[in-house]
Amino acid sequence: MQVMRRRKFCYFCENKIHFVDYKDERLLRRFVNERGKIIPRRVTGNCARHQRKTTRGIKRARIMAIMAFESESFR
Amino acid sequence: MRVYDTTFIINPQTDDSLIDQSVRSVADLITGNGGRIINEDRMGTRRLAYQIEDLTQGYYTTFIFEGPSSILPILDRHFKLGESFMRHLTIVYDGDLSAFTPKETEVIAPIERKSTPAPGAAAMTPTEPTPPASDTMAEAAPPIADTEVEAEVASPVADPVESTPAEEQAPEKPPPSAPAEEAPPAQKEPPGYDEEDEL
Repeated sequence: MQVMRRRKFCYFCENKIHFVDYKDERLLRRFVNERGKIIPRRVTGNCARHQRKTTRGIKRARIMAIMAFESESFR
Repeated sequence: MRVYDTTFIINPQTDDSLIDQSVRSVADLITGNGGRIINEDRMGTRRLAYQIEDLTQGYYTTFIFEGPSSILPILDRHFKLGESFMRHLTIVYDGDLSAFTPKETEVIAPIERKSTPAPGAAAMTPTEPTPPASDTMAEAAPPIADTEVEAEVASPVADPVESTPAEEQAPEKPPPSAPAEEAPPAQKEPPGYDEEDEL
């Protein structure tokens, strides 16, 4: 059975975003699931470099209470 | 010198004057220790993602500044000792600074001026050299007339030099009375308005 491959392009490389600002909650929320956990790059399609930057930004945002460490899961 | 980004959260339940005082204290600390503030962003009161010290909101402020690394421990100590600061974070800023630098005015082509002589010069040449009516008058008048002539001759020459630079875009202004008289009548009633329609 053939599995459809998801798109595999890096959002930051496509839009030429070099700096991932931890204060930009809207942008970072795309890379976090419903429970607030960071989505792996095999799902998001990020390149390794930007995945590291995104992770760093999300962790900083969590420290500054811009994003939650863990949000309530929908049941 | 490196560019740093420091963000801190202030208790929003304090007075506005105290919040402003706290922000100013951080700015003064940066500038007083050899730093230069590039951008100040007061994000205002925001909802916190989780409770901090039983508070659900916080006043966020960000400073992007350039300075020596010796500022960082001083800044850190200031945040730790200050009672109104809930959280703080200082990082090395890697972003684009062009958004914070003032943009230079665009160079636009200079306005082509018509080759009409300046009004002062036209009035000057035939009339200004006052012919001496009498000997006594001629003795008294010329010094003043000469200076006036020189001043009036200088001004039309100076005007083109001052106004030709390409950056100055403003065209020659019409007499001040004309626009004031013309504008109000045009704005009184919008087009298509009739009083009879209301009735």
